[in-house]
Amino acid sequence: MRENIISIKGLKVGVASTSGYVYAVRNINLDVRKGEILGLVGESGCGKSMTAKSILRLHDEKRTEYQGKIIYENGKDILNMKEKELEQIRGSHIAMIFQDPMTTLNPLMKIGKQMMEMFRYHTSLSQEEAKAKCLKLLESVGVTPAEDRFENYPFQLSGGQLQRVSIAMELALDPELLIADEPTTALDVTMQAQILDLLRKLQKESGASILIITHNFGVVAEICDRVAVMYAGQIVETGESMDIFYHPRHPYTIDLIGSIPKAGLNGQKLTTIPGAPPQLNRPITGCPYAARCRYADEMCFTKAPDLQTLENGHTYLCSKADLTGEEAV
Amino acid sequence: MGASKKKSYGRFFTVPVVISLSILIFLLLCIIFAPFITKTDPNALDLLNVLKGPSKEHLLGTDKTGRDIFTRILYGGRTSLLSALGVVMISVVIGIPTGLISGYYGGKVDMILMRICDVVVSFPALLLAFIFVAAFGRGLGNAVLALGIVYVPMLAKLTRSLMLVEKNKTYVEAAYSIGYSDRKIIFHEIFPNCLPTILVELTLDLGYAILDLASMSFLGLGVQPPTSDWGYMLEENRAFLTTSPLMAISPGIVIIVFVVCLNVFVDGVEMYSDPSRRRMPSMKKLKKRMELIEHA
Amino acid sequence: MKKYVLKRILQFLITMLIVSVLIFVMVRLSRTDPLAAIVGGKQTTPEILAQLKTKFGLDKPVVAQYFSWIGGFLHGDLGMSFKYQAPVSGLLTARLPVTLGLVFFASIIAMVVAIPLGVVAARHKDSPFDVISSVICLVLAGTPPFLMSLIFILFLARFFPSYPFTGSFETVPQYLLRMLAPSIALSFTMIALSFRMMRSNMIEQMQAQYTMTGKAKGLPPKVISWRHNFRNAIIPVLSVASIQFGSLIVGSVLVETVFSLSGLGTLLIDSIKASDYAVEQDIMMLLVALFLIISLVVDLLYALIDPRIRLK
Repeated sequence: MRENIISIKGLKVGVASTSGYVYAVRNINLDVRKGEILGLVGESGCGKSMTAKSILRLHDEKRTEYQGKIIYENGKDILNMKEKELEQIRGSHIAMIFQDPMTTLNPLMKIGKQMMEMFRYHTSLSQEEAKAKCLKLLESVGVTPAEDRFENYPFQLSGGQLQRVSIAMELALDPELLIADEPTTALDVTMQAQILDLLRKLQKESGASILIITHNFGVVAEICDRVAVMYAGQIVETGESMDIFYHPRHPYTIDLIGSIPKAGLNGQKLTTIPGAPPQLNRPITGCPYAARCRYADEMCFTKAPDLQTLENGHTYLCSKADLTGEEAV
Repeated sequence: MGASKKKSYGRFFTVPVVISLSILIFLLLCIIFAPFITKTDPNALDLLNVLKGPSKEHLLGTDKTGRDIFTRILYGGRTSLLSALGVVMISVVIGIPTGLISGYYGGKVDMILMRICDVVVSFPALLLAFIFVAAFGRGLGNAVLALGIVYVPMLAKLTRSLMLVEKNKTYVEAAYSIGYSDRKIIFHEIFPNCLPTILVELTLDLGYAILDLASMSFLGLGVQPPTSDWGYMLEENRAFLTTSPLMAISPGIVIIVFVVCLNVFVDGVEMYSDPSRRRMPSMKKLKKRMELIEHA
Repeated sequence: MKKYVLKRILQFLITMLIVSVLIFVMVRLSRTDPLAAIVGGKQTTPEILAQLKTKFGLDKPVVAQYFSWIGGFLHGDLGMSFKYQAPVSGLLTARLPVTLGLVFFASIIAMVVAIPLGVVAARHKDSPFDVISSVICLVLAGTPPFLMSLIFILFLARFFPSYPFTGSFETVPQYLLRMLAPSIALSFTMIALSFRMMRSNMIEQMQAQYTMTGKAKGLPPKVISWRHNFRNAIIPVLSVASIQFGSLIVGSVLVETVFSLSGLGTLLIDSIKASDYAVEQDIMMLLVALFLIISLVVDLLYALIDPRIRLK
């Protein structure tokens, strides 16, 4: 088994919002291993993005409360680190790219200058050395002519190009972990595939780990080694991505995979999951999926489900140990 | 699920709103019922008691001709508020129909009107009012008229932008398909929906009008003696600023209190109607609430 | 950019033209007979009246009067004041430094005070500093400049009794000292408005996605605020600066009156009261021109700062 870059243990995140106190992340255990691409999948509002941002402690500290631990490679707990120490890790050891490339960059600062900041605040490279590196990075992600783009402002580039710039910027310091929060969602379909290819290519070259947050199982199937499925603030199933894709065990995963549109099924209705996820501003008794689950019985509504572990490391959070999702695929 | 509806943390009667509203109501009552509060004539000269300090008979002292400052503030408030209301009314009568019609019909007329409004709005209101008063003469009536006209474009622009939002909504289409006349659609269907925002703007305008009128009266371009308003009182007593400061500055304090309370009140109304501007409830309170729910 | 600049300059010229016609017509509509104002109640004969008419150019048709006025205005020849019986240009040049100085110093003071305060208040939102400064600015925003000046004089008389409120000023230090108090009094309204705008813009920018990117890059919060958020937040403040300059110009009229400075403002009010319309129309034209030129400059600067306009 490979070493972990990040090991999340019992993470709970509570956020104060205008609609009350929201427990968006409830008891998450998740390891990101060295050199793997891990997918974190779930529908909007399930807390996957919240989890990702917690790894870098990006939430507004004044109205967020963390519980549990996020153990970094060096054995330290990120949630207990001093702000200064954390700044050292952000960007240079753990980097993050975001969903909408059009708003990710400062609109009033040249792209080159924003990239150079990575070197300026984390290394002692000279201006010229840093610039040379930035140009090389821009070329490696296919933003050319690099010299011109370096002097451009964000509004002069397209969304796809900007996402490439973000990737180049975040990989500038060879981080051990890149967190990609819905990196393709805001892009059109042809661009999506290109960005995923680019991520995979760069991951192969650098050997970094990638944690990719997505609501799209297609993305998982395309590039992830492992996958964790999240529902209502909890991880309900983890395992090798192919294993989960073909042998899902948790009813939610089964339904989720079942609702992917497939080629060659003309005229058939798309399967959907009825109902809506539970509200996260109140405690949940029993299994959070019970209300939408077609296998649920009385016990599911009262007793919290147990974690089941299979031999190949495949785990799932369900009281029913005998489910197989073969029929869903 | 029914309980979730109660979870709105916006309250209309927040502490600042309650305080400002009660001060405003108190001041208004004092001004309206001035003859019952003080029996003194605001213009009665008393040359034996000039420039007296505060006393039982003269709460805020007397001016250089022995007139009671407190009484004059109450009666001056009538002039100030009524003329400010006048300014707002003039802008309403011209501005709102212009904005509604211009926004509803669009086209060339709309474009020209809005260009003119843009130019006028970019000018400071008082400068235009000076030009107007220079031409038509000094006096309260002209000052009110001038400011009223100068306030029109701002209101017209606001009304027009509200109209542009409303006119594409379904209920307008419905009214149109039933066969309502344009007039009925504009004034009976759309206008009531624009009203809340317009009222907020008008309340703010009232505050600006008080300030602008005070400025004009202070310069001697507005109210003419023997009538007096808060601005002119400041001008009258300016010479005694350092010798009897309370008497000289108190009309100014009333202006500030009135206008600031008006602004705080409007701010409260806006915050209530726009949840994104509400302040985040404190973590402590939220957690306590959470615990209560959990125990229930 | 070129297109933007040309468009803006054209707009400036058109507005100037419209405003000049407006001022001219308005002043001509004035009910008071200019001749009566010149004569001032003295006994005259028709011959003298005719002579005066020619002297002040009142015998020419109105359109010709407009062109001779505007032509003179552009050449610095501003006609004669009825009241002072002197060329207007002399009156104005003597008073220009006062008004210009007030507007200039007040805006500098306002910017220097309000903008850093706004940033600090936004960075420490809901802290005692933020709450107190917000309340103070709320009160300042509801205080007209003449009232602020009165209060400020009261304050000065109490704590700095030696401050020179009156008397002439010949040297530069004397001028600066004399301008200091009125400039501060004038700056308060602009401080209040700029502070509130800067604060709310900063808060908005601090919630923007690029701010989170900066945080995720490991930039210290101070760097994010000052290097990234600041520029984004200040641009809208500059974009309304021209309107604020307008209120400063009007405010200077009031502040001059309170501080008994002989500037353009006091001259304007005096000439309105005396129906001295040659002076009236020239000062108003000058004040409007001043306002329009400042807003033109501000808009061009604004375009220079914002790459989204500059590079289009």
